Amino acid sequence: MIRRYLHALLTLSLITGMSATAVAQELSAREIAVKSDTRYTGDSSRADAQLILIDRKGRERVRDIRLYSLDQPEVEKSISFFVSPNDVAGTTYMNYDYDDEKDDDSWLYLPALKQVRRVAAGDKSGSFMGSDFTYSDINGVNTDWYNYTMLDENAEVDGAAAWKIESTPKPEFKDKVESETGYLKSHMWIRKDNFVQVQGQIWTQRKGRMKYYSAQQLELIDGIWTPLRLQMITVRNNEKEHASVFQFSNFVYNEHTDDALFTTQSMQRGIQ
Amino acid sequence: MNQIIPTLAVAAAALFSKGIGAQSFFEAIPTETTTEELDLDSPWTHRAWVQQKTGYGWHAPSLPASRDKAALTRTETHLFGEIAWRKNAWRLQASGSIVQGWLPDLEDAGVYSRYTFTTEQHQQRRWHLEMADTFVSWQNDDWWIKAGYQTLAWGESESLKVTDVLARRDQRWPGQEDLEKLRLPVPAVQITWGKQLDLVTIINPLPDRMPAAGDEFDPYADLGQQQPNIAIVEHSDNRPGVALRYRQQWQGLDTQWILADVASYETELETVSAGEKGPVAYVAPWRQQVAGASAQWVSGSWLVRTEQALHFNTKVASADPVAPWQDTRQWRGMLGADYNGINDLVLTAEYSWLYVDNWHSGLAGERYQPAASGRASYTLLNEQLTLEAYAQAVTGGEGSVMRLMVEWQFSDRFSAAVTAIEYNGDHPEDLLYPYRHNDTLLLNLRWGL
Repeated sequence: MIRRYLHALLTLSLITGMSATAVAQELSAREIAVKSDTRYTGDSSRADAQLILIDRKGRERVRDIRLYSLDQPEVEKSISFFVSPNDVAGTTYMNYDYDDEKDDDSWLYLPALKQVRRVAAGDKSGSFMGSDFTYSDINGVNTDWYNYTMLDENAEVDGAAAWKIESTPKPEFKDKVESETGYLKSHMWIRKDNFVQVQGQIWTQRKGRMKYYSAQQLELIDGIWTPLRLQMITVRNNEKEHASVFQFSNFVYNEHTDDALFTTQSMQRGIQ
Repeated sequence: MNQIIPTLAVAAAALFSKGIGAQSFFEAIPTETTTEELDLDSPWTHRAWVQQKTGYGWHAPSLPASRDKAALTRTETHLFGEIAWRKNAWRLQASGSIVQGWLPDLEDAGVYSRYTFTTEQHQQRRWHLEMADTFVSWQNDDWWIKAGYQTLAWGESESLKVTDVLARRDQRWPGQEDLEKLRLPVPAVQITWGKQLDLVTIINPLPDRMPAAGDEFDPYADLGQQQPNIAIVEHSDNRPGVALRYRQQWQGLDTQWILADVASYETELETVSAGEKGPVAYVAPWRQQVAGASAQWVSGSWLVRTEQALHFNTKVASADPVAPWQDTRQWRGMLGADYNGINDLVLTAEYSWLYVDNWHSGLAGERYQPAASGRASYTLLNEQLTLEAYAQAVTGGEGSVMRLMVEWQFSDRFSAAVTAIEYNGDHPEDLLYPYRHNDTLLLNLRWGL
């Protein structure tokens, strides 16, 4: 989960030796989306995060999390240790995201039960730990399921040149996409200089609700562009209903390569 | 460009243009929380909370319990603490609760005197320590050793113990336990090899925690009615229990196989004899052997679970309630499924059965005893509100339990839950028949410290 999350949302590709802007002129909307989705994001990563849940009155609830990911040839593994608050401390979530069409493997360790349980990962439209991010946001999606249309080749986000691309499910995948993500379509803003998706506007199945995603505080860490702040806002009838912010710190790439970290035993042992 | 949006533009957007209006929702939301406070590298972690639990029974119990009218059943304060330390391969953890049941004290003080408590109830409810997981562990490559008090959850079946035979339980308030106390820790050493093979030795386990004489779930109340002033003497099995488990995972499938030679945590009635002050009933856990397997398989939004086990030398009550219990061979099984394909709703159902291979008419139950349970759990408002409904048909058609729960997470520190539990037993011979009027409303308040 977190691996894909890092992959799909956090990090940017290094297109060494090429000017992305120069390449950009020749890329189709699909090629840009695929390039954004398949960037090199390190073989492994570790980060600490605070997931801040903000209600409409501005009250905050905060989950402290340590995240690890490992990219292997056919599977991306991730494990996240929840450290606080009390009601989630000790909870661990682990995900294996396979490169092919196979469903993810997911497990949840609940300290109250002292038990690792499998989680059915087919429906990714559910809220991730009470946040505005869904599991599909976290895990990423299959770009083959979508059509991509260029809406604006000369968009701009915070002064940076970007493409604005519309993503809609292909007719043959429409039902699958809607049932698995809960989304109807989205607009993505992808920066031309580093292929980071920095903004997204998402049309949801839930009537009257729209979601707005933004990636901020981009930093170059170990040669990989990394947004240290991710934000998702749920809007209902044009008013903010709830918001969630992932704030990252202590980001390290390519430090851990030990597969033993990504086991149900690690989940039981707790934060590493 | 999204950092500063002219007020006019926002207003105009709201009125005229969805696209421009959307821009304001891309701005960074200011938060009070800062990552400067985050220190996850500390070897120390801790958590603590205070919990206030209050139960109200809205009927008079049908048993001859201390409570003989609708009244409070419990008013407890729990102070839970957990501290853990880690360095390299080593981990230490200590945790537990200090618990005080206030009702006997309130009754003594004349503040709340709806009914009178027995001596045993006084003893059981006064200040006491409830140990939670407290252990030392060490891991190196393929080896992981964990020694101390630990909760051993080797099964998931809710309606029948199939493979979950290593965990002690708290039977004082059936169906009213906190999630953390569904299973109790036992003194044990667990050695894991290759992250797949577990060898557990349980040392001097105590039987399940049972209700005090006079409590509304007193399992021996029936016996007391037949033989007034009977004393219950409980023995434990001091021999270490041994269990072996092998786990294997594939894409979409987890399996485990277990072998166990352990004391049961339930107790059997061994004998009833005449004592100096009256009759004495001797109860003790029995020794049983279990060979089982379980599997979890996922596909799409479905999780299918099964547990199957053969239980040897498991005791079953005799048809005559004062006769000793009898050895049986049993096949226990469970087939269940979870479905989470509807937003944040999780539906769970399971069917389980107990089949007594060497059944005869002198046993209290039937040869084939089915059970079932179902649960619907829905979280909404970003997991601030949880609604849960649960129903269980007790093994062998001995009654049913229904539970409705509403929990509201006011903040990271404070939550409140209200739970209504109803017990049903239609026939006098049903296990739950004596407890059918023990319906309870529980209020749980928890403050994180």
